[in-house]
Amino acid sequence: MFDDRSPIYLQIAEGIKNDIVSGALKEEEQVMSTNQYAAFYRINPATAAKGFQLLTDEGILYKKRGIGMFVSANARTKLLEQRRERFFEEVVDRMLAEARQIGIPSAEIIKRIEKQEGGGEA
Amino acid sequence: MNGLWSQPVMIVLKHLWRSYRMSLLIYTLIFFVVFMGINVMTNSNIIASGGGSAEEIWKGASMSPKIYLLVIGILLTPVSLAGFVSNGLTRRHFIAGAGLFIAAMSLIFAIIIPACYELGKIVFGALGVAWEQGQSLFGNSAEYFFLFLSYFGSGWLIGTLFYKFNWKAAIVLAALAYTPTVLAEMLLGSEGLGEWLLDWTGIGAPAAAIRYVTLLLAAAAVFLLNKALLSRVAIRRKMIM
Amino acid sequence: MTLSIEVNGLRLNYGPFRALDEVSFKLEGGKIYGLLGKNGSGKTSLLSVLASYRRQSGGEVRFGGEAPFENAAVMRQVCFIQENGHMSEGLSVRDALRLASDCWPNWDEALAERLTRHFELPARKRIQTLSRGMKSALGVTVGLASRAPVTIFDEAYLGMDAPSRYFFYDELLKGYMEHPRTLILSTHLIEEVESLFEEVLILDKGKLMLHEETDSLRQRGLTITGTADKVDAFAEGLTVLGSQRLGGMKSVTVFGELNEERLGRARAEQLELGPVSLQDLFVHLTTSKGDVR
Repeated sequence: MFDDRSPIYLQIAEGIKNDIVSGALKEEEQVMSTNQYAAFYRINPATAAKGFQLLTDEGILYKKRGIGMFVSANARTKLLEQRRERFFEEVVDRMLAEARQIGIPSAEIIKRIEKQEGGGEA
Repeated sequence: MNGLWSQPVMIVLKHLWRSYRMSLLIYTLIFFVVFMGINVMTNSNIIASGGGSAEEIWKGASMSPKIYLLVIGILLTPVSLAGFVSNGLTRRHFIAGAGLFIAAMSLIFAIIIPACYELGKIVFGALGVAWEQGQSLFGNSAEYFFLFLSYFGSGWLIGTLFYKFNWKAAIVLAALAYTPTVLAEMLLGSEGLGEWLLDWTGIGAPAAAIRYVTLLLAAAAVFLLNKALLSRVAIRRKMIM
Repeated sequence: MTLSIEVNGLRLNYGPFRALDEVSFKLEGGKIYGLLGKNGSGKTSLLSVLASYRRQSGGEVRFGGEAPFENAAVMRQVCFIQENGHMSEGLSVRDALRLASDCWPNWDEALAERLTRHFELPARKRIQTLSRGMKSALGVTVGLASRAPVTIFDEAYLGMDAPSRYFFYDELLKGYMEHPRTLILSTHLIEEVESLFEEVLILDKGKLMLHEETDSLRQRGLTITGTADKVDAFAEGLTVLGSQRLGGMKSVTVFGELNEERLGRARAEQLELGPVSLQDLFVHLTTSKGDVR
């Protein structure tokens, strides 16, 4: 379930973030408790708690005393904003760097984008 | 922990008893059957002829329970100690529990053995045969108790030696472990071994008080020796090194 | 119910052989700890001392400030389960469980019954007639149902098949979350269990090699792959645990703190960075010098 690429608690946080972005987890919806999470994925509850804490610190989750953890109201918006920035840095900038290395001019890339936009609509 | 039987020493006693009670029952049955069998065979003509008086075979019968208790004693430490410590009890709990167990078993045997004799007398009486010796052996229960105690105790000591030391050292030391038993036999001058030892050494049997005090001291010594050997012993899986 | 365990300068000798050599650490308690080490590294010796099976040759052990050896108050809180166990082989499964239930103050009878049923432990059979897997299952049942404040499993599940092992991990976690206590697992099956450990201790040749939070330990391992000279240049000054060459390519496993800046540099140099599993870290850290390729 979890690979070695990054600490498990980060992967947990990422996983929940992905769920929020994709809509699997809705805002104000209750999330599994850290113990349920730990049992489900067979990991130490402290690790699960660390991941949840990270999300709470980032304002993505919040705790309702006595009930559990919930997705924050504007979590999705916040995440989309974060991902936006990341998208440009990690995907676009990298793509441009690679294109440069291979020797593809930006003009060709733009033409391709336009073709995709015009041709196949989602 | 509440209640007497939830006390650690009592837990040891309870579970040792549980482990050996079947064995005790079976042994007693076999002992009685064999005892009766021997007597029936040697007195078969008297029985056949309708009755009379006969000399019962009893001399040396007590050797059997002594050996039995000796063997159980030898097994006690190697078989049971680790089990108790692995369940969180201390070695001291085991030592005290085992000590109580040995005393209790010796007492039980000291009653069972004469009882077998009495039962035999009754059975033969029903067959019309009166036993010559006839008197109750329950008067000898105290003697039996100390004899059985010393055999059981010596066994325990031997088992402990084998558990703690390598087998070569243990064999040498085991010879010494018989001392309390030899002492008991001599002091009590019991039939068989005891009488023979007294004859051989030419010592007369001492007064009752001295006898029993010495025997109590010997039992205490055996107990304390086991305690000294076991109270810091490493728990191992093997029975004999 | 959290008992702290403090070990100072612990030594254990078997004659001239030093099984434990000046081992010191402190466990706060209430966590799941992993104890890793090759065969003969001293794992079982350490656990035996903690469980009062043996007395140390030197140094101190304290459970909540008290020395454990022959200390009834401590010993009844420490449950040590080894693969083959120390239960009398002549006892029946039922008698063994009865003894355990009498001895452990926090014994959970309902749990014991549930586990006995799941593992299909035959109540009347004597322990010596059980298969290896059954014996392990019995040991694990006692360990879990004891709910002892310090419960130690020493390779206790080696003989069990995979489904049973995973069942054990699930029950272990469940019990831990319901009643937090100190759990120490010593294992060779690192991959299976590493996600359960909050902290990890690694023993090597009787010495404590490290004691860390699992996450931070994992972070300290990295594989760097690329052209040999670039890799060598980058790995300069880092602790290299192992390396492999294939033609002009080289892959090294390094151990140490690597900051973002350095990592960025690696990517710029077109070096491929990869993580190192705890299993691999362990193998590399405990490989003796002579084995390094």
